[in-house]
Amino acid sequence: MTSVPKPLKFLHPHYPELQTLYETWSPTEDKSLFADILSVLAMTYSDTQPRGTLRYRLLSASLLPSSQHISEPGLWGHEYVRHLAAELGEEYRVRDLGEEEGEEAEPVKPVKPTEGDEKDKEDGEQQEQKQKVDLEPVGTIDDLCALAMQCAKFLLHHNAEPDAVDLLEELEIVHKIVDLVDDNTYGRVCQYMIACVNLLAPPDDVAFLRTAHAIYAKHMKLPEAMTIAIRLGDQELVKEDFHAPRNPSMQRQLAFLLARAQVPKEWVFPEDSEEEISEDLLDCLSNTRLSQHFREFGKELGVSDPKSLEDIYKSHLENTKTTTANVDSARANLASTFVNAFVNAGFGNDKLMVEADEGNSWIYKNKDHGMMSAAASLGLSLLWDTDVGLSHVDKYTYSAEEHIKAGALLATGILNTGVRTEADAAMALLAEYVENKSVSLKTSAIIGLGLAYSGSQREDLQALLLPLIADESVSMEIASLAALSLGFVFVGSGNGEVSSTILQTLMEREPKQLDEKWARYMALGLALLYVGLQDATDAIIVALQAIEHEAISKQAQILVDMCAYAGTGNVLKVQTLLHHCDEHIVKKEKEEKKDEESGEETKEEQPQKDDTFQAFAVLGIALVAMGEEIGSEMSLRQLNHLMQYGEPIIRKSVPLALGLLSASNPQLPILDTLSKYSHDNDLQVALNAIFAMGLVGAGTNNARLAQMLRQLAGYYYKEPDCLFIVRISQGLVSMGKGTITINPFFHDRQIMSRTAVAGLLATLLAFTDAKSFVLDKYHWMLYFLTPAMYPRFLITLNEQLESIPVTVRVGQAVDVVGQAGKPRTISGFQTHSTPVRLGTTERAELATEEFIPFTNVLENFVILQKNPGWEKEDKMEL
Amino acid sequence: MAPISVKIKHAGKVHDVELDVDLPPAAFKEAVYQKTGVPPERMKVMIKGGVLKDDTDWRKVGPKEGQSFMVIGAAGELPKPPSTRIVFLEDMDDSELAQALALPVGLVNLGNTCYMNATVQAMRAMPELQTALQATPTGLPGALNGLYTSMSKTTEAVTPMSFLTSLRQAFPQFAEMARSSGGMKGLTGGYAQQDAEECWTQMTNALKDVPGLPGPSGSGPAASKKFIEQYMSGEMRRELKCDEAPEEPPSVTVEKVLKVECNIGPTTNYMHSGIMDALDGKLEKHSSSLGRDAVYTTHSRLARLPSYLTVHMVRFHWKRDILKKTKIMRKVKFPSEFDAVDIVTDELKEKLLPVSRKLKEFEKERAERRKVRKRTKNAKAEKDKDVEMVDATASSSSGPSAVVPAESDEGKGKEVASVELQDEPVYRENEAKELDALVDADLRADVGCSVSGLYDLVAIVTHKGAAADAGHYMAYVKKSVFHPVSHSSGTKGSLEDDDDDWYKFDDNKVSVFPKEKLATLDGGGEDSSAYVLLYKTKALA
Repeated sequence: MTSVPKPLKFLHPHYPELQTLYETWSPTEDKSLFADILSVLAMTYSDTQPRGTLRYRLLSASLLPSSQHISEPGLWGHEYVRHLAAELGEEYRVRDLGEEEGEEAEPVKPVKPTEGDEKDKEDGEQQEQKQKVDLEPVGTIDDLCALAMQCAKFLLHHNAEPDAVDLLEELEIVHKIVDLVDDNTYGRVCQYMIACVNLLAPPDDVAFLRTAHAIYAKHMKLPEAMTIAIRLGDQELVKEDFHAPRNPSMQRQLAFLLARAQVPKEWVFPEDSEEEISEDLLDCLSNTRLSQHFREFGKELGVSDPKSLEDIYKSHLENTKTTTANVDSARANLASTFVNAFVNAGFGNDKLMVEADEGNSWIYKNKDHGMMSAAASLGLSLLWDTDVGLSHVDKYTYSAEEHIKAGALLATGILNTGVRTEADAAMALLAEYVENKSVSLKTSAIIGLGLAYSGSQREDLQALLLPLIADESVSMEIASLAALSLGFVFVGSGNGEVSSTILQTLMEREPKQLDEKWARYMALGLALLYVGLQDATDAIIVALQAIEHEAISKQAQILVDMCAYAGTGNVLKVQTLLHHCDEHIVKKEKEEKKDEESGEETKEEQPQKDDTFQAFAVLGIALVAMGEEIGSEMSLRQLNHLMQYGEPIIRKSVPLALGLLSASNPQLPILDTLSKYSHDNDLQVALNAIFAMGLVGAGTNNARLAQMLRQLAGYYYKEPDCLFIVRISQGLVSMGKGTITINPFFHDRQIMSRTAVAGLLATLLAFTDAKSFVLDKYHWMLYFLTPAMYPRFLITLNEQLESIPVTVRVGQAVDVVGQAGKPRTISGFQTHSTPVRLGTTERAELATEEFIPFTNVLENFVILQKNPGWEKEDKMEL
Repeated sequence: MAPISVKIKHAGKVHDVELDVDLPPAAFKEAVYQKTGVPPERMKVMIKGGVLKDDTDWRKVGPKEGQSFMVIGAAGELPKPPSTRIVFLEDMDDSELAQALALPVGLVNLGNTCYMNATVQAMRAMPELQTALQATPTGLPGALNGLYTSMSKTTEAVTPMSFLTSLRQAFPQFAEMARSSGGMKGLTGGYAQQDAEECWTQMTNALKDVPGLPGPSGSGPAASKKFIEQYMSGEMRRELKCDEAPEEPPSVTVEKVLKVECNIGPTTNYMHSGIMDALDGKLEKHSSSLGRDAVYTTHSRLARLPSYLTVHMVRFHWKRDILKKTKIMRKVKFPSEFDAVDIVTDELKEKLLPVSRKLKEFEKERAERRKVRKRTKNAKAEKDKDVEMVDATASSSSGPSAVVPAESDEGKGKEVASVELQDEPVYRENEAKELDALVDADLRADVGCSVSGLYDLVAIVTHKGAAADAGHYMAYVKKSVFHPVSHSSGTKGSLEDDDDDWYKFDDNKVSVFPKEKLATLDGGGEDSSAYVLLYKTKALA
């Protein structure tokens, strides 16, 4: 009552009498004013008289002749508006609810004959009458909305943007805010709306995003708009946004964003359009210069020199007896292969493979299938370097050794990951091997293509690989990997043809084949098609339920479901997934023995229930929760519970989930938890925990983690499997010498890279049964990580796309959504000169106003424009 | 149709090439070969929709003037597999593994046999002993030989059952049963704990008949000597002088000793002083000249130093008042490098000094060189790497640390700080020659003696616990004993690393023991304290 004028304050005790008095008045303009006053007075009586403020406000409006307009609600002060806003929400909810209940109750109650438009309102009224006999609701929903708009307008003008958004959201007219915001308010409104998205239930989240997009587009904030368009995965919006700017630099900036998100080029330049694309723009769109810039960045940071294995292992700090013998361990060498590849990824100058002396290549220090991974490691070392790299790899395609040849094919695919070239080399080189008789050549060609074209949605790949899935005579291994490959290529596209083919295969294959370990990759291929599509998966899930093979049906359903909601933080999905984990599937060995005695029949009656789906469900929890901070924190707790009460299959998946949840983001609590799990009695759990440590620290050079891993190397020196994974994790932690991240979220952690999610999931799936994949001869599956790998840099370019050094401040990102004024967006910053390395939770801002960036988020490539006003100021100072 | 000029992109470079549409693709490939050096049969030219094949018709491709093609292929030789196949750890069987890794293995405790285990492990630090043992198939030496052989062939702990049996046969005192071991062991009738030093002495006694090793020249006289004589026993020259009758001529006795004792008195803080105490003493004995008991001074010095010098810390002594063997807990520091010049006779000192002085000088130089190397390595990691790396790769040709060196010759020329530094083996060779020249002729002929009087500590037997006939024995052996460093083959990796760590043998458990912690074995508490120390004479190179 602070903002209420004194005279009204005195009226306060008389409110009930005034109410009675009001009823006796005949409807006039004065009565309208009276209603107004009562409305204000009702603020204090809201507990005794529900929504009095709103009621009298509406009455007051209805009493006025149509020629006259009621006074703005703001006239009565801020508090009045807020009160009104609160009651509006309540009222709307009651009426909305009433509608539904009313419909149910209709047959019982005598219904007044009402007509079309008014029916809804009438129903609402009836409900009201039922509840509070003497209160007749006033005004229509439209009136409510109009009033809400007025309130929102007031709130927007008085620095209460969140309130305005909330109000409109409650009345389900949030899209109308587009017209209300102006230049001063739109930024904060959008920020708030985007921050809300993770907490909203569908379909409100999409509505919010679309509204925010509309606002940004209206105010020509194209990078922001594009961010949302990519998030929505809406081809039309992306295209619109991309072609909106006339400034070529802005368009290039958008192209960089699209390239980072691996949005297919065809989205913005449909193949049939004859539009000429400038070379620069094409370079930006297809990431052609990524390799060049990355190496320059490495040079600038002083990490371009290749690192040796000993630099990573630092075995002199390990507390073990080191064997100084001159014997090669194939296992240790294989681990070294991966370490070398991950550590020197992208620089193309490692000492073991690329720069190895003639005839002294590290490949030959590997055994059999190890050679394949070794040859393929060339691809990682030469990552993104399509110019020089392909020729390097080409040498090995002439090798007589089949494993080396297969590795070379895979390398060709790997080095093209995320980069598109005009020559389309990967397709030209690999396509012919898809039909090769040799299984290893075939699989590496298939996977190579999948990696090289991940996210590109290329139709020709579909034509090439689909027959492999459809053909039932093809082995499960090939078919599943082909499905996975297509999953990579069409990630998040919901491609109907691919999905129906996979679905059909799943239905028609022999149950025995579907029992194979490869089946999970078939299901994952299907699931990847639906990454981020949310409820568009309903149909496919119903179809999956129809699959006779119970185990694969369940696995596929979970995979599809979790992929669809990846990164949304959807609580309901997390709950469903948790439900899947509560079942205790115990392998009944004793019973089986009995069965054997009593005969085969009983055994068939009770086949062992497959529990693989639980592993996926655990991963799913992390996958769904990872987008959002609070959600991921809550899921940590859930995972902790699962670790304590779960069956072995669940326990061994929990560390993987943790790894996914916090990829390339080594937070102390997670490190501590993983460190604890890495000493678990169950070696499988320990193994996965060690790998998860690698994921969590990937590309961070985290010293603490490195220390933990060294200690683990000592602890497990007698367990070759664990030691192998320890080594690989050590390699991951130093990935790209600390310049590469595998965190799927980028652009201020707003956009989730679908290809990165695909890569991470495929890798993690290999660890749900590590013994038969990674620890067997399929260690090359570790290269599935490649699509998730991207430099964590900020490079500033001038409008000619040349790198220019600029001073920037880099610090921890601070959440400033909904805060008053202009708070700092980073804390604890340091000033650097670009190019600069950004941590997962770090943010950069320009230190001076000399340049104006074309995008709001300083990350990846940023084009700068000279600030014309800046120099002048400088001169004046002089 | 006239040839058009097109561009080709190869390995990041752009070349201009003429393309005649009428000629077959092979002609174009030949032209590209001229520019890039990529053999046509290994050349891949990217055209729209695939790779250029030999039967592709250029007209269908429809190249335009100035169009660029990507050419893939590497000039030069294809990578070749190494000539010798690499044998992997995983392919080897158990004994091959043990040989390749030379991992020390533990010995299973068969019931209070830790004294024996510790002794056997410490004695294993004498590789010459193992060689010598091979000639004796029978008796205790034979059993020991068998034990050492089986230890070198496995990676698991060995159960020394047969050795224990022959040990107990040879020396029945080791089969003594625990007298008052209480109810716990009463049932099983456990064997009593024994003194490791006694075991050591008895074992060396038993090995007396092991034939010696021939000298480097294969000369005759050496062959007649026994191993123990050659490598383990010194000659003690004892001078007995009567204090009360200075005119009495000192009596001189020479005897063979297998160990040097270190008496631990109330003021002994260092092993050196303990040894001196033991060598110089006073005793009361009947004097023939005085005709009564008189105080004599003994002055003992070694006239011959063996390659392996055993030092016995006299920690156990019989306390008359309580009629019990007790342990002296006093902390006595022992050096990891021992200069025996003080405990030898003057004649021997003469012979030793030139070598010993020179060797000390060289050691200083070596340390200096090591420092320089380290510095240059740090300062100019890249330039200097080749020197280090050549060696590192040679020694552990592929261990995880191996890094293939970049053009080493080129790098060497550029070296600035370490210009005068040649490969370590070169120095070593020169030093060895120089030292060899200084060696006294008598000593040279004496196989198994120490020519410099300088010793390195290689093995320790420790005792843990307060009581003399209880507690636990463990052996500590220097790591380098198991992974001998050979300078001649040009390896120097381990020299660089200064791998001075130790192995700790606690029965069947073997672990690495950092050299920094050696000082904890000094004694002064109930924890392990050094009891028998085995020193090995320093190699000349």
